[in-house]
Amino acid sequence: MQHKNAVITAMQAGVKQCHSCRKLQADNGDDHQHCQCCGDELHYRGHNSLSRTWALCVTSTLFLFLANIYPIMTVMFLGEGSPDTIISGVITLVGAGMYPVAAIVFIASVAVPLLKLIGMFWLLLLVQFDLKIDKKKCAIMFRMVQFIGRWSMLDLFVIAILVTLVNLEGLMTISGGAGATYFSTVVVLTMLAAHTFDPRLIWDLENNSANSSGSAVKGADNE
Amino acid sequence: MADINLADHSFVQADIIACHDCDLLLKDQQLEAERTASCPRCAAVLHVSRRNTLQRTLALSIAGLILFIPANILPILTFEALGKSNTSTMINGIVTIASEGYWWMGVLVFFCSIFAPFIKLLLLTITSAGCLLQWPLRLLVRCQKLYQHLDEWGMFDVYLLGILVSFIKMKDYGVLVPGVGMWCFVGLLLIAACCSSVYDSQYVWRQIDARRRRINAA
Repeated sequence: MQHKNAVITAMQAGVKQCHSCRKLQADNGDDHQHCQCCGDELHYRGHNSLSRTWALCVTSTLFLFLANIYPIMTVMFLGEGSPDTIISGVITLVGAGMYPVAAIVFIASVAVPLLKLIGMFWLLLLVQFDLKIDKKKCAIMFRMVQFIGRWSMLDLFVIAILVTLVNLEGLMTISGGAGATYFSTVVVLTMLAAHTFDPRLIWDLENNSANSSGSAVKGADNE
Repeated sequence: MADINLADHSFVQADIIACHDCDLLLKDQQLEAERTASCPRCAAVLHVSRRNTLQRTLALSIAGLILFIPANILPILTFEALGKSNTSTMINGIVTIASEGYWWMGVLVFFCSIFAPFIKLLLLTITSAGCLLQWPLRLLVRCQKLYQHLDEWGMFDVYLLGILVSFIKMKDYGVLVPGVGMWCFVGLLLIAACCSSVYDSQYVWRQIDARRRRINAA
């Protein structure tokens, strides 16, 4: 599908889309224009989208370091045991031969936050410096980043369940660690970062480089 | 595929929509039930039309709200080792963590596994019933917006995987028995997932907009 000559976005046409109810409204020149349907303030693009996303990504990177340095959980079995960090927890699981669980925990608490941050930084650099990369691939990557983000809550849920479940005095106890607090913060901040990033910024780069003289409006793909 | 006049803004009233992910202007199509419209440029899903969306959402969300109570109060797992045993419910896990001093993590786990899913079901009940029974527009708009904000924070699916991981981690140390709460939780998860997939948020927004225009015209 070739749309390069027919690109007409709402912004090019001077129309604002409400970010809540998606209604289109002509720009009336007011900076504080409100949606006629739901009353939200209208903006062409997410308000300060780039700087907010940068701030959230940098902060969550710092917290990700802290989350990996401090122990996240302590398992005491018959009076023995030591605090485990995220990584050493995964290594313990591998050592015990529980490969599928080790893989799940590794993906949810190491790979997902890391890939998510790398993806967000990639997108931020792309938009900031107008890198020549396939826009559609970036849009798909952004959707994946949005989708996988919530799965890093897994480790926190596991701790919440185990702490109560395995609380047999003198025999076996499990308790949380400071790393869990930092890790919770990472999850929240990365989810907010994906939320504040406006994917339309990716496509604006393409619109600027494309010849936008056409005005044909295509119908949506109907599956 | 008609050309539209971009000089004036008359097309705002016409059947033109914009893709929320790439801002491309598109002609709105009347979708048949159970069809999906997606953006030709960025492949974002624009709209999934559902047959009887309001009635189905209302039924499912009420069922979900009823199951919520046993799923939260009844034991999910029981752990037994050397004659000692301990049960875990969704709520007491959060209480234990918070009382150990990890209140921030406790708040987050509470928010994602209990609060957000519960409020989501409640909001779906209100919006679907409100749309059918013509409840005040202001209430419907509030609920719709709040629902959209909370949408990704309800994490029943992740919690279920959490239960499975805990189960496998602990199975070598003692005997683990799933409780009644577990089955209620699985039922609740399925109902909540069906409920949000059956819910056609765009349809509700259009209903709200149409009603507002009727009120303004009158």
